[in-house]
Amino acid sequence: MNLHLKNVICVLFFFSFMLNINAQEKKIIGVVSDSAGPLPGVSIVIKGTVKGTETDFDGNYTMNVKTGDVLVYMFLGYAKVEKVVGESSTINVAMKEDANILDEVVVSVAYAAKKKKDIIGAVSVVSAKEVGDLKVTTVTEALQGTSGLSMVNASGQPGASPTIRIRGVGSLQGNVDPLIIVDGAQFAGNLNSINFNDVESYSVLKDADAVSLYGNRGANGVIIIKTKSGVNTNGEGIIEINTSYGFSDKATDDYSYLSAEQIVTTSWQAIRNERLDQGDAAEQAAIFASSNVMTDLAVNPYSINEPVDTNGKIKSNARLLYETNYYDILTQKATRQDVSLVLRGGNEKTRYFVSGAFLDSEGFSLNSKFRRYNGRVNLSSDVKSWLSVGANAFVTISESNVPTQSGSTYANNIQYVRSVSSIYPLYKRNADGSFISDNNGNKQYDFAEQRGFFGNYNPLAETYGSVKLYERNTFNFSPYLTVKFNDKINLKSQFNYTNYLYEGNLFNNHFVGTPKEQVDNRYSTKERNTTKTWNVINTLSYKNTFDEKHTLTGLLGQEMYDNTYNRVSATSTGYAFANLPELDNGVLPTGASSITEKNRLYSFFGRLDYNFDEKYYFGTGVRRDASSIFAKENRWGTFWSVAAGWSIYDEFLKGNGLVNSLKLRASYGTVGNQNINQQFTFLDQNGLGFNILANPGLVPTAIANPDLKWETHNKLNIGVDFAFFNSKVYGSLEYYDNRVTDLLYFDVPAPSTGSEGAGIDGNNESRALGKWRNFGEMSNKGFEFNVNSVNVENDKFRWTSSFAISTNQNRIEDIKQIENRGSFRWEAGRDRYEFYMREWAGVNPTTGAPEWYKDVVDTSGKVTGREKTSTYSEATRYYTGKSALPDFEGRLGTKFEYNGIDLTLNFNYKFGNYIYNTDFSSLMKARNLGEQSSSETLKAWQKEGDITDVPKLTTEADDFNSRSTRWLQRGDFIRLKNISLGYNLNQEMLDKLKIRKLRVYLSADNYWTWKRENNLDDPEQAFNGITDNRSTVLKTLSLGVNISL
Amino acid sequence: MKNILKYTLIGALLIGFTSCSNEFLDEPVPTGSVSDKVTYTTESGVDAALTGMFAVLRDYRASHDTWGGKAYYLGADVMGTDLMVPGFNWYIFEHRWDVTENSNGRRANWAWELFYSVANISRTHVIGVTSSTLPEDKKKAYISELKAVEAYCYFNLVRYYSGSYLLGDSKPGIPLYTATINSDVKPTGRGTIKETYDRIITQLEEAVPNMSNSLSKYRFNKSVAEGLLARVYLEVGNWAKAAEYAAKAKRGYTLMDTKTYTQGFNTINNDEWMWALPFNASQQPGAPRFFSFIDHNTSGYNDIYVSKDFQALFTSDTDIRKSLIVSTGSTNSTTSFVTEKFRDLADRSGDLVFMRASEMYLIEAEAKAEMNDLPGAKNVLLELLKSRDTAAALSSAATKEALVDEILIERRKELYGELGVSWFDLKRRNQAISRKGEAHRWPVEFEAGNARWNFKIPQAEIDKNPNISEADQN
Repeated sequence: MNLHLKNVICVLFFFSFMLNINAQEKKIIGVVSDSAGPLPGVSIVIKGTVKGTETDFDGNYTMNVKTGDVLVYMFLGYAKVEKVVGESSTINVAMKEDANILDEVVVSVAYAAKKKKDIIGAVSVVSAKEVGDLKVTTVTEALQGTSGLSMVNASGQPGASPTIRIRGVGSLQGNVDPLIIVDGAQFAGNLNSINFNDVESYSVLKDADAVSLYGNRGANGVIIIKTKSGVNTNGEGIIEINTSYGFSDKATDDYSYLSAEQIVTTSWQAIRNERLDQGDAAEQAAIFASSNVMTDLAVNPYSINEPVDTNGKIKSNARLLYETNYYDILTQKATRQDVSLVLRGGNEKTRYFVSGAFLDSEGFSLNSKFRRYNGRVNLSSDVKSWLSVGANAFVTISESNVPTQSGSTYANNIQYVRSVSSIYPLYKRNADGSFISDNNGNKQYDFAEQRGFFGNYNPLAETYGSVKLYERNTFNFSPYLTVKFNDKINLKSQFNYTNYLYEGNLFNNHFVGTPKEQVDNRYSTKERNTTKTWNVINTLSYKNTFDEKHTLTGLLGQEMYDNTYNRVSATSTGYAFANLPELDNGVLPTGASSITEKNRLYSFFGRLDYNFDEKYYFGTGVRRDASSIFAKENRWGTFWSVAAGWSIYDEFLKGNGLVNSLKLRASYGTVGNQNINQQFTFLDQNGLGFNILANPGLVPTAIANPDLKWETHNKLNIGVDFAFFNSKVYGSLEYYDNRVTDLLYFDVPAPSTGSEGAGIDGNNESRALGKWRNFGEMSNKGFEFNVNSVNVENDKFRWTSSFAISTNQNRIEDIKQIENRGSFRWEAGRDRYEFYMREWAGVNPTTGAPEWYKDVVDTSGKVTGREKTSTYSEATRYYTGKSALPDFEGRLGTKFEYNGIDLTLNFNYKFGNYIYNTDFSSLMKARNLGEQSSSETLKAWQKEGDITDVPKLTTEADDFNSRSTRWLQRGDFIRLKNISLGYNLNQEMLDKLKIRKLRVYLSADNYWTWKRENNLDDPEQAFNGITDNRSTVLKTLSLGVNISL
Repeated sequence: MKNILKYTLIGALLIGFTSCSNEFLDEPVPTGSVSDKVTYTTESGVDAALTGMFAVLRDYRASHDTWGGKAYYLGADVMGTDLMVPGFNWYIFEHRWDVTENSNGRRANWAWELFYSVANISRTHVIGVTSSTLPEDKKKAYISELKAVEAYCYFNLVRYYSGSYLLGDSKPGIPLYTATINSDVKPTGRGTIKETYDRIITQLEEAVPNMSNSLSKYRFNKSVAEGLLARVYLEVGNWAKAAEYAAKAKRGYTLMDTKTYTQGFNTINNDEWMWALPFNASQQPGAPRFFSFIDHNTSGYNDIYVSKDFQALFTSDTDIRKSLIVSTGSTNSTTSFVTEKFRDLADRSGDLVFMRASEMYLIEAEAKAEMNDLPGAKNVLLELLKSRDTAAALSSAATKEALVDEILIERRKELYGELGVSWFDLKRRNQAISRKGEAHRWPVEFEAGNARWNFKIPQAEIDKNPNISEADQN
C-alpha cells in the first residue's frame, strides 16, 4: 500500500516538473501610478512566494515572471492590487488611495479630531485593535508601556485603578493624575465603570501644544478616551459578540516563610540572646528561654509544655500538633468571565452603537469579587444638512466585595498572612491538638484572645462574617448639537452629566467577649457618596483652504464645569442577629455624618492652526481659566502654547525611495494645575464636629492664603516623526523639558508652632495647619522613542513589531525649605524620588549587632570620614543616589500572522528604579515574638566571627527593621504582559457560515515576570517605590471567542 | 426660512449657555466649617471653640498606644515600677523604655505634637476673644481659662522632654510661644527649664483670679487651675505654695467613699473628680480606649498587669484599694495580678479622670512634710486614708524622710493608672529606676540623670526649626 502511494507521488511530481519546464520565465515591465502620477517604492511580489521588486523613482519596474503568476502590488496607504501575468509583457497598474493610511488616521485631540499628519504636538495613540486580547477591568490598564506614560498597576483586586503618570511627576503636592476625558468631557466617575469593548481609541496628550486647550487641568497630561460610534453600513447593521473565560492567580510568588518549628526555635534564640544582653550567664539565659518561650508566644503547637531544650532544639518527645498555612487559607483561585454584545450600524443619516456587557472577575485575596454590568448607546444623526445631533449615554452597575487589600489595617488579609505565623491555630484546639467542637460538633474559630498582635481577631471569621459590600452606579448622559453655518464654520454645543453613586455597606461582626458584648459591639455602617458633575462645552470651529495651499483652522470655545461631592454615612450598634445589617435593626445609632464639597471651573479658549502646502505648520492656543478654590483676585489664569512643524520630507525628500515621511516639530507653552485637596484656600476655617458629649465643638482646620494662585507648567517639546521603507518602519523620537513654577506647596512649619492642628481624622487624613503657598520649581526632562515595523509582509505571512522606550529625570529646582518626607527629602537640586536614609553598614561580626554609618565630625563641624555605629539614632542620613523613578522603561511587542493564525507578545520593562521594601523589613524583624518571619532570618548571626547580613535574633528593639538602605532593593523587571494566540476563520468558511468574522483565542496576561530582586514579591508596587502589603497584580489565562455577524 | 431657523437656534444656544462667571464661581461655600467672625461673635461660639480644644486634648492620636491625652499618662505609668506589660502588645515600647531612645519614635512625636497643637489653639482663641465684642468680664474668664490650658500643655511637655528640675533649671527647656501659627511665627529655641516654669507659673497665677467654678467638668474650672499650680509647685519644690494651692483646689469636692471607689472610675459625675474628659457611645474610640488596656473584664487588649511587688505594698486588708487588685490565678509570676479599679461600661463610653481631690490631699501632705510640718502632713494624709481604709491610723513615721517616702508610696497606691506617678515621681525626685526580679518580664535599670529619662526632641522639629539643631537634642 505504501509503495503504491509513493509511486503516485513521484509521478505527480514528475508531471508538475514537466509543467514547470513548459511554463517559461519571461521579463515584464510596467509603470505603477496613482491619480497624481507615478508611484515610487511600490512593492510587487509574486503571490505565494517571496520573490519581488519595487518601483523606482519614476514608478517603473521590471521582473522575471511566468505566465499565470499572480503579481501582488502593495503600497502603504493604497489598496492592494493583484494582476495575473498573461501574454503581455507590459503590466501597468493604477493604484487607489486607501483611507486607512497612517497619517490619515483621525486622532482625538483637545476639543477636536485631527489627522495624524496635521498634529504638531506630542500625542501617542493607542487603538483598541492594538490592545487586542488583554484582559483588563479598568480601561487605563491597556495603556501600560505607551511612550511617555508610566504606569504602576499594583492591585490584585479587579476594579482597582492603576496609577498613571505622564512624563514624570509634575507637582510636589498638587494632584499628579492626568486629566481623563471621555468623549469630549472631563470624567469624574470611577474609571472601572467604562467597558473596555466600548473604547475605540486612546490618545495620550503630552506636550503644551496638545494639552494647552485644557489649561488648568492639563498640567499632568491628558488621556482622551473615545468610545465607538455608529457606522454607515447602508442599512443592515453588525452584531458582535465577545466572550471569554479564564483563571487568575497572583502573578508572582509570595515570600517564603519560616515553618512552625523554625518560629519556635528562632524565638527561643531571641529570648536567650535578650537574657545574655541583660547579663545572665549562658546557662541561665538558656534555661530562661526554654521556660519562657511558649508563654511569650502565647500559644503552644507542640504536645508538651516546654518543647525546646536548653540547646534551643525541639525535644525528641515533642510532637508538632498542627501548622496553619495562612496564605493558602486567605487566598483563592480566581476566575474571570466576560460577555459583551454590540449592535452597530446605520445609514448615511443616522448611525448607532449599542452595547451591553457583563464582567465577573475575582481577585486572589479570599472572597474578593467584582461584578459589572454595562449598557451603552451612542447615537448620531444628521437631522438637516446643517444640523446634527448626537447623544452618548451609558450606565454601569458594579458590585464588589472588597476585603481591604493594602495597608496595615486588621482587615487586610495580605497583612495578616505577613504578620501571623503558622504556629497560631485557625480553629480552637485542645492541648492535644484536637479540635474543640461546639455543641453541634463543628469546629470553632480561634480568636487569639491571648495574642498581642492581631489579637481578638480571626481572619476567616472576619472575611465571611463581617460583610463588606460595595456598589457603584455610574450614569452618564452626553448629548450634543452641531450647527453647520457653511462648510467652513460650525458650532457645537455639548452637555455632559455624570452621576456616580458609591454605596458602602459594612457590617462588623463582633466575635469576642461575652454573648452580650458580642451583640452590643456589632455595628453596621452605611455609606452613600454621590459625585455629580456636569459640564457644558461650546465650540465654534472654522476651517478653510485658500489657493489650494494655505489651510487655516480656528477654534473658539467656552466651558463650565461643576463638581459636587456629597457623602452621607450612618452607623448603628447593638445587633442581636448578624445577618440583618439594616440600621433600623440596631439598638443604638452611634454616628451620623455628612459632608458636601463643591468646586467649579469657568473657561474660555481658542486655537489657530495654519499650514502651508502641508509642508509648514504653525499652531497656537490660548486658554483662560477660573477656579472657585482661589480667592477672587487670583482666580483667573491664562495659559498658552505655540508650535511649529516642518515636513522635511515634503521639502527635500519627496519621491525618495527610502524615506516616506520625516517631520520635525517643536512646541512650547504653559498649562496650569489647581488640583489640591483644600476647597477654599482663601478662607480661615474652623472645622465643626469636635464635640464633647452634647456640646458642639470647633477647631481651626485651615489657614488662609488669599494670594495663592495656579501652579504653572512650562512645557517644551521637540520631536521628529519618521517613516522609512515604504512606511514599513515608522515612529517618532521626542525630547521634552517641563518646568513647573509656583509649585503648589503645603507649608507645614515645625510642630512646636502647633502645625499638626487637630491631628489625623477618622480616615487617617491629616488636618495639619499648614498654609498652601506657591513656592518652588521643579523640572522633568526626558526622551521618548517609539518605532513600529512591518518586518515581513506578504500574502501569507505578516510579522510586525513595536518598541517604545521613555526616560524621565526629575529635579526639584527650588523649594522654600528642606522637607524631610519619610524615605525622601525634598531639597533643591535633587530628584524628589531619591531615597534619603541611613546607610546600612552590615552586621558586626563580633557582637552580632546591626550597624549603620555615621559621619565623623571634627571640632569645626567638618566631616572628616565615617565610622560604623550600632546606635541607630546616631547614624547619619544620606542621599542614596537611588531613586524610585526608573532610568528607562517601555514596551516591546511583536505579532505574527499566518494563514489566519495570529500570535502576539507584549512585554513591559523597567530598569533603574528602586523599591523600599517595608514588607520585607517587617518579615526580617519580628517586633512581636511569633510574628511571621522570612526564611532569610535563618541566616542570623550566631557566634563571634560570623559574617552575615542578618543580625543576632533578639526580642529587644535593635532597629534592624528601621528605615535604612538595608531594605532598598532594585526594582528592575521585565514582564510578559500579554501573550495571545488566535485563530481567525478563513473567508471561505465565513461565507459558508454566513458570518463576517470568527476568532478564537487563548490569552495569557502577566504570565511571566523576570525581576532582579529575589526578596521582593512583585516589582510593581507604587509610584514612590514603597511597598504596603498589597495584593499585587494578577496573572490570567483565558479562552475567548469574538464573533461578528 | 432655513437661515432664520439656523440663526435662532444658534442664538438660543449661545444665550442659554453663557452666564456670569463670577456668580457661577462664587456659589460654592464651605459647608463644614465657620469663619473666625462667626466663632467669636457669640458666647456659644466661644464655648464651642473651647469645647473643640478639649476635644483635641481628649482625642489627638497617632496609634492605639498613643490615643488621646490619657495615653500621655498611661505611657508614663507603665514606664514605672507598678504597672506592667509582660507580653508583646501595645505599650510594650513604653514599658521597656524603648520610647525614649529614638527621635523618630511615635510617642516622642505624638506627645510633642498634641500639646503644642493645643497650645497654639489656645493662643488663637485668646486673640479671637480679645478682639471680639463680648462683655469684658466674659472675655477675661475665657482668656484666663485658655491661658491656663496653655500652661498645662507646657507643663506636660517639659516633664517629658526636659531633665528633672533637681538636675538644674538652667538646663535646656522647651520652645515657648506667644504668637500663633497664622502669623507665620518663627519657631523658637529650647530656652531653659527656669524660663519654662516661670512662664507656666506666671500664666497660671494671672489666670486663677479671673476663673470661676461654674463650668462643665470637662472645662478648666478655677479649682483645676489651682490644682495645676499645686502640681507645678510640687514639681519645682516650692512646698509652701504647693500646699497653699492644694488646700484651695480641693475645696468643694468630697472624697469618694468605699462604695463609689469600687464603681469603676468611669463616670464624670463623681463628686471627687475635678477635671475629666468624658465620652458617649458615639464618641468613644473603640478598641484603643483606655479601659481596653487595663480592664481585664472587658473585651479589649487587656495587656496591662499589676506588679506582684506593687501588690505587696497594700498591707492593710481593710484598704478598699487592696480589694481592687485581684489575682489572675496564673502560675507565671509576671502575670499574677490585674486591677479592677477601672471598669469599662457596656457601651464603652467610660469617662477619663484627669484631676481629682485625692491628689490635692497628697500634694498638701508631701509639701507639708518637706516643710517639716510632720503633724500637719500626717493629718492631711489621714483625712484621705480614712475614706480608703476603715482601720486607717495616723502615720507613725518618725522623720521627714520616712514620712515623705510613705507619702510617695501612698501616691502610687492611690493614683496608679491615672497620672503616671510611678514614673513622674521618680523623675521629679531625681531617683534611679530599678525594676527587676521575678515579677518583671522586662527588667529596666537606669540611674538618675541618665539621658533615657528624657524623650527625644522629634526629628521633624530639628529638621524644621532653625533654632534647634542636632546639638540641642537630648
